[in-house]
Amino acid sequence: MTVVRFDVIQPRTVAEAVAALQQAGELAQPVAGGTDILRDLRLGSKKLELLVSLDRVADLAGVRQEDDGAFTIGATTTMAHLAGSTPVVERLSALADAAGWMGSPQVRNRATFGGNLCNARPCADTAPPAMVLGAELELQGPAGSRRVPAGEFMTGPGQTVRRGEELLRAVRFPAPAPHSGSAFFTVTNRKAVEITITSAAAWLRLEEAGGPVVEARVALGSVAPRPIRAPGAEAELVGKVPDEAVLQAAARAAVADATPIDDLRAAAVYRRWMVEAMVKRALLRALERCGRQTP
Amino acid sequence: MKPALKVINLRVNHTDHEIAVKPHHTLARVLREQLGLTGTKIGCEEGDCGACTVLLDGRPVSSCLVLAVQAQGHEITTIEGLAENGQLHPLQQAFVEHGAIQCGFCSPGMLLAAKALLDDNPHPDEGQIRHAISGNLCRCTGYQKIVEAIQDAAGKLSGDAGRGERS
Amino acid sequence: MSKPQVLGSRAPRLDAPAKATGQALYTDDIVKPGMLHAAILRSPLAHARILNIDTSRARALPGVKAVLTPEQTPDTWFGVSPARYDERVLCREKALYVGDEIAAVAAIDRDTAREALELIEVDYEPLEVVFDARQALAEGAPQIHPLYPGNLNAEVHQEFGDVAAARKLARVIKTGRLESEMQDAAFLEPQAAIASFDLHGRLELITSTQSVHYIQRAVAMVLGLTMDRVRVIKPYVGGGFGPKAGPASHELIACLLARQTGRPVKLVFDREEVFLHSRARHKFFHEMTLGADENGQLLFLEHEALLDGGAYSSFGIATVYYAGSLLGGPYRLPSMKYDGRRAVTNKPSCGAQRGHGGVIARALFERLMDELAQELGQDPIELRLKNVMHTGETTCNDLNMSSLGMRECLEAVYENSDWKLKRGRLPRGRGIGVACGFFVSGAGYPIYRSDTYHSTATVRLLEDGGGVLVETASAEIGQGSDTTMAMIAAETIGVPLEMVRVVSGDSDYGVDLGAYSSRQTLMTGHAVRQAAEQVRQVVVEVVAGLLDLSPDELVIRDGLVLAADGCELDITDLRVRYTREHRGWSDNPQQGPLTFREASRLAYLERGSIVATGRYKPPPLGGKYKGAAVGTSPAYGCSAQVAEVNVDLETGQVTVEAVTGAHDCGRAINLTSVEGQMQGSVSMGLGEALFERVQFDPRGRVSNANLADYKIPTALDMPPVKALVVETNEPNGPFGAKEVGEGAIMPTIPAILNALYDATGVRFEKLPVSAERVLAALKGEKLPDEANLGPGFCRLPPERKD
Repeated sequence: MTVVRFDVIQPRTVAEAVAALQQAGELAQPVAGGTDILRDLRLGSKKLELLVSLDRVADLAGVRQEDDGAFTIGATTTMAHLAGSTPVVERLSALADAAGWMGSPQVRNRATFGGNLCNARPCADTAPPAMVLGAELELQGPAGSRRVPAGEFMTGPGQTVRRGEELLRAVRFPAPAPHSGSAFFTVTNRKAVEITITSAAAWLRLEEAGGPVVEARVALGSVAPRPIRAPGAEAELVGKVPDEAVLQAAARAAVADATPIDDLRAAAVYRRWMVEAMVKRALLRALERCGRQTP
Repeated sequence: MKPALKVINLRVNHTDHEIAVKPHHTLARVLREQLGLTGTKIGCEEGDCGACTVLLDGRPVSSCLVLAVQAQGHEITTIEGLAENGQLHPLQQAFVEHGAIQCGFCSPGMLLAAKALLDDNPHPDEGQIRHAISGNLCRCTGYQKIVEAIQDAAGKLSGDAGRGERS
Repeated sequence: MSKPQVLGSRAPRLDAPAKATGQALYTDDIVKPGMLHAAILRSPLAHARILNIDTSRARALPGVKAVLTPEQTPDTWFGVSPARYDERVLCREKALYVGDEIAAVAAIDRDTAREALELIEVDYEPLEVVFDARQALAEGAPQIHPLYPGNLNAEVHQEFGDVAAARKLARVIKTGRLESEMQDAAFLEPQAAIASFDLHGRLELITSTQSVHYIQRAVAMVLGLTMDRVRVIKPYVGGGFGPKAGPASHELIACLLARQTGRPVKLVFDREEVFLHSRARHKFFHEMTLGADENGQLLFLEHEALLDGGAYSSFGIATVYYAGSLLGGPYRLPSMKYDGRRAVTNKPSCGAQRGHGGVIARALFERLMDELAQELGQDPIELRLKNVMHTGETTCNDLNMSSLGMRECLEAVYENSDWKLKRGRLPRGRGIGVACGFFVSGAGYPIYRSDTYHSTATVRLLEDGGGVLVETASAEIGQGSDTTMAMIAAETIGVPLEMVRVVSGDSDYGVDLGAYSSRQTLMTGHAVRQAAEQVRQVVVEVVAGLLDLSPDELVIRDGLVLAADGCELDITDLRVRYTREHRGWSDNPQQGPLTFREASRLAYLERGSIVATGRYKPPPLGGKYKGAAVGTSPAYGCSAQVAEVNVDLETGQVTVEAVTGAHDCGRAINLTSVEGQMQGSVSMGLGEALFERVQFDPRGRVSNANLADYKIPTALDMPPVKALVVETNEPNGPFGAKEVGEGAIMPTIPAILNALYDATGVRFEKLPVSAERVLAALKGEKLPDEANLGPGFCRLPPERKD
């Protein structure tokens, strides 16, 4: 393990945090739960001199539902919080699925939604759900804030559009539409403490109960340098009544959207098989949940 | 670079400690090396094994991934805080009786994860127990007797409910 | 023997409360005044000449107190077996694997020590590497270790009976292959050591070890000290499973730095170093042909094995023998041919790990048993029952089964699992399988040629109070040996367990070869029993003398001294004498029989301190052929398991739903501990069957040197394990006891493989059987060559400075 020395500051407001990031430049990064960053630092894959800890920043954690039904989730909301939040479980189901599964109970009590997105691993489990649920990330910089759609946030392994002096503040989700539902599935070898080999998140909006698909979003994790949408799968779904054959066709079509590689966790060919299997499962579950969606 | 030491207050097992720490030091290291609480073990220092589990405001976390400075202002419970006045906590007693402890290195973390479970859910089923300890690796026991011990302790603790606080 | 008082109970372990409360001190918990912290600089290259080491910048770093380079270390060869002493404290001339020890530093704290490592500049000349055992042995391969030309570390050629003749008689013949990966013991506590010299030049080494004796010998030999100047202490240890049984460079480095600085020096591995050091399960290639007659009676086995041993020998010379010898039982096998080779490669060294060389070999053998059964149309349990050896029989390679409950174990799993209900009735994707295995109860010979006792022990009666102190150098590493010894002493003397205290794991207490080859219950147990019996006799003699009886008219039971014939004894005078010596005590015995507390006091007053020693070594065992020693043992434990699996046919994921195991441990000293060893063995076997493998990047560095990517089972992966104890009362064991710690892992991998065949129709030839291997097999597709895969997208590749 590498020697790791860094300083830590603990600002109390977003503005302070942003100012500190701006001042320190490249060798500084925000940290919340630290479950990814501290490992990277010890393994030597990152070098930082300053960690801007967000643990004291007020109002950066929590799930809030606005009057119009839209969600605002603070960036330092933990996985455990997301998985245990009834509104998230019921309305942003794919996100709850992912948050409730990843890592271990210990990791879930510390790892945050914002950290998972900003660390931008291709296997980041909250990213496919955020993408299919239409999330927007709110980034706060010295000059003001901006919003970035979830699908545009990550650009490659460990890379995002977040500028060094920006802080991810919150993630916003539109109000869940009637007759919509989402789900997230992943495949791993062990049943816990695993990194996703292949994941799929799906979101469907039906015209009416039992009716055809009006909108479909499918996103895949760990099969490309960043989580990606599966337009091929989505095209197979829109306008059709989602029966077994349609879902199967969509799952099969998703395979062509993925570009997995062989790595120490799995072979590319296996990942392609799993794209089909996970997309199918995610679509089935999302469909089930469409039926349960109360306006 | 040599960042300055930070003076922090850590509340561990209901006791306050004012100590100077290096910013990059983890809670695990500070507990063990500065507070002499060596019951918290370091198995991997990467958050994969759960041996360093402590309770932070009652929730299990891997203390090797918590910066000591981040632990300020929270209630920290280590294994040393489980027994009271020399009396083993029912979980500890059950672990001893059921043979849930072999080499013992995973045990402190395992016990605290179990305690957090029972504080939250006094009547867990086997699946919930295994889920709660899924982040605590054990190489010796195969988990069987650990699960049995937790089931036994759950029965005893909920049987004792109303007879006085056991926190 | 009358009904046992302590044996066979579920007495809680003596050390469990200390472990449950955080009071138990493991090596890294121990702090010594003035202690320094050491760290090791390891080679980043798998094969390289070391041209120059410049430590000037490291020495100049404030807080660094010593830097160790090869010239400052003895160039004495050491290792595990004297026939293969092939390591030195630090590399000379060449590094042979990524992780090989180049230099070391001692500094005021851990961070400074690690920082100092980064300031040591080493010039390497990279050499050609070879990672594959077959390539290593091929013509023209780069020469790795100077002592092993052609990279051949060891070879074994054995034949028992007449295999060629047996082949002609065979009516059913099955051939198969199995290839495993290098695996890791993955104990939770990384290696750690603290060395310190006193002002008389005596060395004390505190280390997380399985054998204080073997480490003491190696340290004395390498440092040039006589054994009496070296004391090795094992504190609480967080698991061993094999790799901690042999001496290692880090222990020697700590000693040398302590000598150099005059201060205690602590050295603790991080998790990556545990993987780099390894000394764990070899990578095996096995090919076997098993033949039987038309009824299914086994006739012959032909077996070829290639072990990928990594850079150094460790226990490897024993491993390559065990891979062959442990197939001689537990079935009647009249003839067996074994050709085994161990190759040197530029990878971490492999050694002994739970079940040693027998585990993967057993996995293939049991698969072939199932294949024979299938061809003959016999139930797999039926075929095995037809072939099991019985107590008293000897294998073709001269291993004598002084007790063997193999039949009983098979019958027990047959009755107590869902075999009858489910065999042949499960739908595709679900399966049930069975397998057997056996193991030594301690190696018949020490790892160094010697007439030494394998265990000595002392039992001391404390001069007042009736307490019994057992002193043994044996190693409690979590398996429960301290409690076992206490129970044996208590049972022998006739006192309750609470009166016995054990101190162990210290070379000052005598000689004990330690916790490996599943030996301590039998061997240390014998020594403790012998000493305890002498103590019992002294007490009985003294009391008998005082009562004007002969010693055999008295017994000690439950802490009371009683007449053997049940009559009441007049102990008034004895009691008065005891009470007179204990004026002021409020709990002096007043009525009832003479207590042990009183009797032991009286014995002291007559004889002085009552101390007795015990000792044990096995009689000469085994045949006269080369390598006969390996596999010999005074007794053999055996095991059968039935496993049920559920395969997700869409993803290939395997869930083991249930395991039922039966193990013949001769006599269960502590029932809970026996079950615990069985369940723990199953968990390691399950992990090795489904998840575990050490992976390497293209440069030979372990790429999954962490517990997220090296996957041992979590609580969600392990099924409930039903553990059934079979007792055959082993004549060579103390109270009839023999091993459980390693025999119980033997059936696990094959029971799962056989269940997977039942579920999928696929005979897996590569371990671990990961989800992707299952799915590829189900689809009839090939996976790419898995060697040399990089970390991939999800672990950002670490920066490496070469």
